Amino acid sequence: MSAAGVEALYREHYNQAVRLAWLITGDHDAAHDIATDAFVSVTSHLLRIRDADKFWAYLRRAVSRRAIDVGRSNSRRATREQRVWHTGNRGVDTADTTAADLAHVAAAVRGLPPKQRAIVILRYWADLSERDIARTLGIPAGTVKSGLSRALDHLREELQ
Amino acid sequence: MNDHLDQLLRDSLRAEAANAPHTHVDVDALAARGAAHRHAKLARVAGSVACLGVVFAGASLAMRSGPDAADQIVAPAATSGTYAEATVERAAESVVAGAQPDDLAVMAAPAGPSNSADNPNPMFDAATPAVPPAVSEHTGPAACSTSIPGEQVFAFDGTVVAFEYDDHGTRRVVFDVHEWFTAPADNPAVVGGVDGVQLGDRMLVTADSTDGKLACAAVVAYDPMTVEVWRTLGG
Repeated sequence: MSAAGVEALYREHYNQAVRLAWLITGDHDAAHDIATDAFVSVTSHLLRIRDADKFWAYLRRAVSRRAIDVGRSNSRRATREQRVWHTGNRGVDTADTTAADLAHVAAAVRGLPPKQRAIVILRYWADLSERDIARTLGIPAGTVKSGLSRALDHLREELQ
Repeated sequence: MNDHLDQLLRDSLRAEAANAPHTHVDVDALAARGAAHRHAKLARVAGSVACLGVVFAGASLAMRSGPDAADQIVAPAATSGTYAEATVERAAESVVAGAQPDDLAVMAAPAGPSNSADNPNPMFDAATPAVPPAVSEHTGPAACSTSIPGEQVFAFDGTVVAFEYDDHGTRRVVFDVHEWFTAPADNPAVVGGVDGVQLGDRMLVTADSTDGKLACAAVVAYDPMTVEVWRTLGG
């Protein structure tokens, strides 16, 4: 693949990859590392990718899986979870959502286990179907369904 | 609540994504990393194939020594340039070109034999094909001078941490050694005759020494399977 080709892919997808990694890990440095590694990995396999239009799907898959691994091993996760719990059940006003409310929701999402967090993010940020989430994460569709259900239950409880 | 939670999640994650770090990454650097990634992967494959070659070809191949046998075995991998050059990238090319495992086995095998009868490194005691003179003649100041009797041969697992240049501009590679497969020596290890490596590369290195300095080397990309073989052979 030519440098121009890589650059075009980079300009189109790299920031999205960083955002996805950032949402899953909550870690700026890790987000860049994950996005870069995933980008390099996917571009270096482009010769084997028959449909270059699916580059984002490949990149999203690589980023998601790496980010989940990082999320699991990230010691700061405990701190984040603790922070969520210490915010208390302040609730979210359903009629008038403020920036603080959105931040509270985001904090609650960060408190989810990494895989559930990734499922929620792929569902509500990347707008993927449960089937596509299953493909992206390499897990059964049933696991996605149950994971999403548990995550939403937890979030409802957290946000009430 | 469901619809509202859905909308809350969408809005929240969209806002959160806006806080993601923004930086510029050098595309050329990314492309270079991609190329290095490909080479490293191919070299790992080559190393694994080489190990299989070592294992399955058995002692009759790996234990052969002498110029004739070495010429026969090494020549396909080192028809030009240095022996060290016939390592990572050449191994990768050989895999792509469909080289036979027997060819690759030599590339992953230790660089040179010790002719000393009291060699303390059993890994290389008649277990390694000699580097043919034709190869050494092309290697310049960092040549593998394995024909010198009594030389000690070393093997280790190390990461490239620096490059040094002597007064003649000859480059030597500084390795932070993780494990010596042969008798331990200084760490970091400074080795000449290593091409095609970059800072941070983790390599498996065999080197001979002259006057206590590691002078010439053969390297393969780090590979756990190769480590096991070298560790076993190094005893």
